[in-house]
Amino acid sequence: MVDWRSRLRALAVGAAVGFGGCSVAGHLVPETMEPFTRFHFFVSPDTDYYPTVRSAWNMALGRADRNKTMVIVGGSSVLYGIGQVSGKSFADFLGRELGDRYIVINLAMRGGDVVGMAMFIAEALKANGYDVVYMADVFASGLNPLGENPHYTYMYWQYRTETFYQPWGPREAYADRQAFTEKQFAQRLNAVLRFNNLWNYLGYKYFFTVFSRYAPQFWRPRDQYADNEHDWPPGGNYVNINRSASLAIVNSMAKAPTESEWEQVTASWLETVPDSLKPTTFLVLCRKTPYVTKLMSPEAQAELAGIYAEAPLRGSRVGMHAVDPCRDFDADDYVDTTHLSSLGAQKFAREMAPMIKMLGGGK
Amino acid sequence: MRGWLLGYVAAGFVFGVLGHYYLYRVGLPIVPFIYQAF
Repeated sequence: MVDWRSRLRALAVGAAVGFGGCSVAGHLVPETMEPFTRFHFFVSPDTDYYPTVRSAWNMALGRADRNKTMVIVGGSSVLYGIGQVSGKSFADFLGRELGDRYIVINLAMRGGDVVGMAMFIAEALKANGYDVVYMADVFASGLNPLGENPHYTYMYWQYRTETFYQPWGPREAYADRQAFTEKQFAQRLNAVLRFNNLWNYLGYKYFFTVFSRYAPQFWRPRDQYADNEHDWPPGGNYVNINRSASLAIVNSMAKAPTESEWEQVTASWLETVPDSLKPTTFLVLCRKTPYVTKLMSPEAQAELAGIYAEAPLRGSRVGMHAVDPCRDFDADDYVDTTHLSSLGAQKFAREMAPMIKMLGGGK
Repeated sequence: MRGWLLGYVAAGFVFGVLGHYYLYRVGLPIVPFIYQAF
């Protein structure tokens, strides 16, 4: 029989080899998100898949071309393209409008905002010498330099540990003032042990290990799930809309910020987007559907129009291009209060493409 | 005797892999509390 000291030693050696081997493998795995369309339902936190910043970075690097302009689409579900089937989304139309001297990558996330995976990838590409245009949607409200959605803040802490990380003073100062959280700690630990990278890689490419009731056959690797965004059928838009709730939302937006509130808003824009990215950043204010806004009182409509008119001026004061491209859209251009249909997405792309080209990119 | 030890090494290896997976799946939620307590 073997004495207990030898047994413990053997157990410890085995555990160290197992744990250490996984960590080393986590450093080495060739993570990527290809085949990538956008962060659809099955490759996003909705179904317990938390994409690593490194996988998105490797994917973007794989597509990047120094002889072309990279257009990185960030922001929320509006630019992500809810209500737009893959191939007929805003980013797809934009790519076609811009032509082959531009590469468009849609890294927007449902519930996301200006800060997030897209901005981190854009600023890192820019720092690596690529010609980059960044765009994300906003309203006349402040931005959190680490991102507003708590499900996505892990990205910031993870990005901060990566080799391609680009420090941006105001953001890092803001981050350092935050309370110590597990997300922050976990990402510091991950920088050494690479558990997120290894298990995400295996889950994307070979087998997924976390049960999700929303992912049929949850064990299937996530690269096998198709982008399941779909077009609304004709007449399908607004079927489930709650008119009074939607009207309440747009009415709550129709309160023009005071001068001091505008200053706070633009100060947050200023400290959120890195200086390197500002000159080629579009902050897009996409209006809500006229299907709902036409129900507003004339005074409220005028107040809201005033905000859309003021925002571009405020954006230009902080060195960015705040734009209002959905001015003349009609009800058919939306599928609900906020999101554009494929029809609207095409119009939106036609509005944005000339503005992007005017920046002088498209080598 | 060597077979026994190899069995323990193999069991330890499985624990090591599971420990790594635990960090991915669960993390260490207790750590910030300890940090704040001190």
